[in-house]
Amino acid sequence: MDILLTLVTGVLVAGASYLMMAGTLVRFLLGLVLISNAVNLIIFVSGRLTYAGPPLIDSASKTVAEGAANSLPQALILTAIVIGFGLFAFTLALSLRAYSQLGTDAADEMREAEPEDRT
Amino acid sequence: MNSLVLSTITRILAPLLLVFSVFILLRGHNDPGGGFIGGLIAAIAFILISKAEGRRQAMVALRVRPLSIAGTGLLMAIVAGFWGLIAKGAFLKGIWPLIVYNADGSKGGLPIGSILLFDLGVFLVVIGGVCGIFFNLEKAVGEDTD
Amino acid sequence: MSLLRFLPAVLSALLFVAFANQYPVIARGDVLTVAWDWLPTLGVELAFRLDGLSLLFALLITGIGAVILSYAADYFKTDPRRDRLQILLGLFALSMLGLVLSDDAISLFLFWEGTTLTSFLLVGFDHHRDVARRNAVQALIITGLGGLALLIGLITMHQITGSWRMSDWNAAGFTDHAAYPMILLAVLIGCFTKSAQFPFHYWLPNAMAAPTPVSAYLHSATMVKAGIYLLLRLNPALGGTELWTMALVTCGGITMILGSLWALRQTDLKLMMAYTTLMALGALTLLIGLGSDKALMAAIVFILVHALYKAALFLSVGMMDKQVGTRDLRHIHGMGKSMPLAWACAALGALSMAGIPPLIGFLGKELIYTATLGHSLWVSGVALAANVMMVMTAIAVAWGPFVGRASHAQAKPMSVGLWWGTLVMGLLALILGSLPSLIDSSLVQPILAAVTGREQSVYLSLWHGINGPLVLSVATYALGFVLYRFMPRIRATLSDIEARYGEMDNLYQWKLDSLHRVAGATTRSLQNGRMTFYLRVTFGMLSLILWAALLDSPIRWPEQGLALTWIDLIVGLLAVVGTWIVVRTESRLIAISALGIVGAAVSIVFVMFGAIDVAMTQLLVDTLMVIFIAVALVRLPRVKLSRLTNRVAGFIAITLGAGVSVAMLAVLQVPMHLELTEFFGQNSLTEALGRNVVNVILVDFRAMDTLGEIAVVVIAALAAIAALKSKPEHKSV
Repeated sequence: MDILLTLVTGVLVAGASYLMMAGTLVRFLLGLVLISNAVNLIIFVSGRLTYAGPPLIDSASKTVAEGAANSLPQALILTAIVIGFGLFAFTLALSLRAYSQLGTDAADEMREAEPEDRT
Repeated sequence: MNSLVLSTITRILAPLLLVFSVFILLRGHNDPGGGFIGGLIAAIAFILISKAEGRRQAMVALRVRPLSIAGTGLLMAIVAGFWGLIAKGAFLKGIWPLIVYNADGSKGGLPIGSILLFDLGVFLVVIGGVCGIFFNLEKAVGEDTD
Repeated sequence: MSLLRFLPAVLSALLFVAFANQYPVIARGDVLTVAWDWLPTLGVELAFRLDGLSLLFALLITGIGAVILSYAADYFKTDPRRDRLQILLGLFALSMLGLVLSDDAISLFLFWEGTTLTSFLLVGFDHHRDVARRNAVQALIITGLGGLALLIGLITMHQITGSWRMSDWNAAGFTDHAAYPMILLAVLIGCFTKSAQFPFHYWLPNAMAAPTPVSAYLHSATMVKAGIYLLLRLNPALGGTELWTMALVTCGGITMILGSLWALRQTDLKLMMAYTTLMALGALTLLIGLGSDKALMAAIVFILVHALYKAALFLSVGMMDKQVGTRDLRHIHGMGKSMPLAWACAALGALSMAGIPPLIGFLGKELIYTATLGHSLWVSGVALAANVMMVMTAIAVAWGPFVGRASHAQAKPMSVGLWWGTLVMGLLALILGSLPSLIDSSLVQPILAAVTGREQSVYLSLWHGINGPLVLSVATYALGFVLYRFMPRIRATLSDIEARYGEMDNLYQWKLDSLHRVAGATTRSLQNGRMTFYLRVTFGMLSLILWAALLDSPIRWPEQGLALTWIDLIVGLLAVVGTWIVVRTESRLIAISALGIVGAAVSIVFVMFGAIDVAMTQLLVDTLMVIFIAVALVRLPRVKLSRLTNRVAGFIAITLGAGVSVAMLAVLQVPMHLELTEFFGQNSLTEALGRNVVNVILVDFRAMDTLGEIAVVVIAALAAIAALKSKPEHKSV
């Protein structure tokens, strides 16, 4: 399974980066969501996969059972998901703003800061 | 968006979701859950209200401006940090004032302290942040669609 | 009028007295040193050393500094920028003082750069003028680049000796070392740029954009002598080789001739003085290059000679500018009657410059001729030609503007700050010239000892009997007086030449412009304002780095992974198909749904491998994202697929995706370290009273990260809300 997941992650990254390079706001947003998922998978798989239970301490013992899932990458991913959501929301707001201000969704036509005829 | 079904379901579901979110927050230390998940659930509850009964209603349900909630949450987390700094000399160190140490070395009492305050801060930040963005997003998209 | 404006001058004078107080000590041949640790781990100290050479420069800096600061106080009497000028001049004086007193090379370098920076600010003092800004930048670029070269030389010498002390370097010597040519080149570039030697000479005349007191102080008496100082200082370590002599004599000789020739061409008196400064600096370089004791002695005396007469002449020109309103020698005549003090100052300076006895200039010129005659005839010829032109320039400065019919009405009366110091310097040139025994054994002798590294007695006198140098001197006067009659014709010829061939300044400008063009073109092609381009470069580089790292080590297919079940295959397929749909669809709704599918598939993966918290968070966030996009969708445009297919982007995306897959496979081959995970698992309940280890990590063990994260969430919300709330601006096209 872990080998399969590395391939799936590769597909996600390829699709996400292609979408982000496509040059329109909507596709950039879609790519951003996809690439967040891909990065989370990378962290998760790098922390090794086990079919064992979650890192919870049952009421009978004082420590996590031998062979439970790796807790550290999970904590990292949890944080990453929420931050990724914040980033996504901000990008969405910015895209809306840019579209209503500039009247185009083609990123390459947004050249207020770096106009074409600059010398 | 004036769907009778949606608004009826919301009237039942939203309070349930809110109670559930607090439950998830509180149980998070020992079972799956915690501030992030609880906060997201609560935020979804308010978004549901907003979709079913309008943004104004959701704002009323929230009572306080979303950004104030988020700010309060951040402040609580920082206070929790200084609590540890002042009491134990390390920023964000966990403090459990209500834990009792029994003679046999086991612990009793209530596990309430700076850590819970911190998690509560996370909870509020997530609610405030998500709701704040969502309400403004809806508003910017246009009053004409509401 | 507040007398406070003379405070900087007084401070400088006090410093002068303090240094003069050490005169007897140095005259005995002693050396004063003081040192503090600065960066002990690097062996860098604040080490200072006062020997004869340092003392001469320290006296010049503080003494002429006092004169100039008082002159500036009255030159800018009513100008609100006076404070700025005096502060900058003061900073410059301190840097220069530090430079000549440092024994530690790092301190020397810092002070060296300090003079470069203050000089930049002072040349650009009239910063509202284009030409002042341009010339300030030019001086900064040239001397700054020279400074870098010098640093290379200094570091190399440190590498060889292990010491930063120049006194140690002088004791060691580098002339036999394999790196000697490299060191010499680096140090010479530093010194030549600073002291405006050919081929770097052209910045100095341009630096005359500075106010006159600045030009008098920095660009004749002190700063430009820093290079000369360093050449003298390092003479024992680097001097005396054929390479040294060749480089210094050639460049010095060219600078000497070039400077004196172009001085004749000028009509602006100040520019004329600037070019004669070039001549003097060239002469000093040439003398140091000759390297004989006589030549070094001549150089030492000539430093003093030049500092005195050039400052006096500059200040006289400044007085004329101030009182008459022009510096063009074609328009000023007969002002001698109304400006007797300025005339006196100019005359003393000019007589010294022309080398007329009994002024000290005569002494300097005799010594130069003695030194050059001791070397070769052609060097003597160069010296003779340059000195003849000096005589002509001296007449042009001190005769033309003051005699004849008055060109201007009564000049304004001069305030005392303007003239006293100038007159003192002129008189000093007269006194020291008449009584050279005042300085020979007490000042010149210890300096010569410092420069050569050997003790020897020095005797100076005006009259040596009829000999070679005297004959040359007489020839100089005669030729100078005769040729002065042809001055206008010479000037016209030189103007023609200048118009036909241009100057080196043009070459500098061309190089600078080319640099700007290249930089502009680079920026336009890299920062072209196209986001797709930026993203392609970013992802492309990422892929390149990834593959470079991967191909560096052997890639192996993992020997055994976890078993593959049908569920696994379905989940993987869901994610891949979802991704494919998002990429290919034109419908926004289908895209969002497919995105949801991918998110769900990822959540399932989390559930399967024991990450319940993560799966819950992922599902909730996924839901929220879909809701957000759905809300925003009505305001976002449709996607047109036709214009979005792009081979380059596709190639980059596929390479990157493949790279990520291979990298992950490679990671799985590496043994896993689980110390942290085990620590968290063992201490979660006992230390932090929590059974959900993930949550305990978030709110307790790594709570600092979480605090930072929720802060980011708040900031993101603030920024998003600000972007959403702002009203559309209507741009004026």
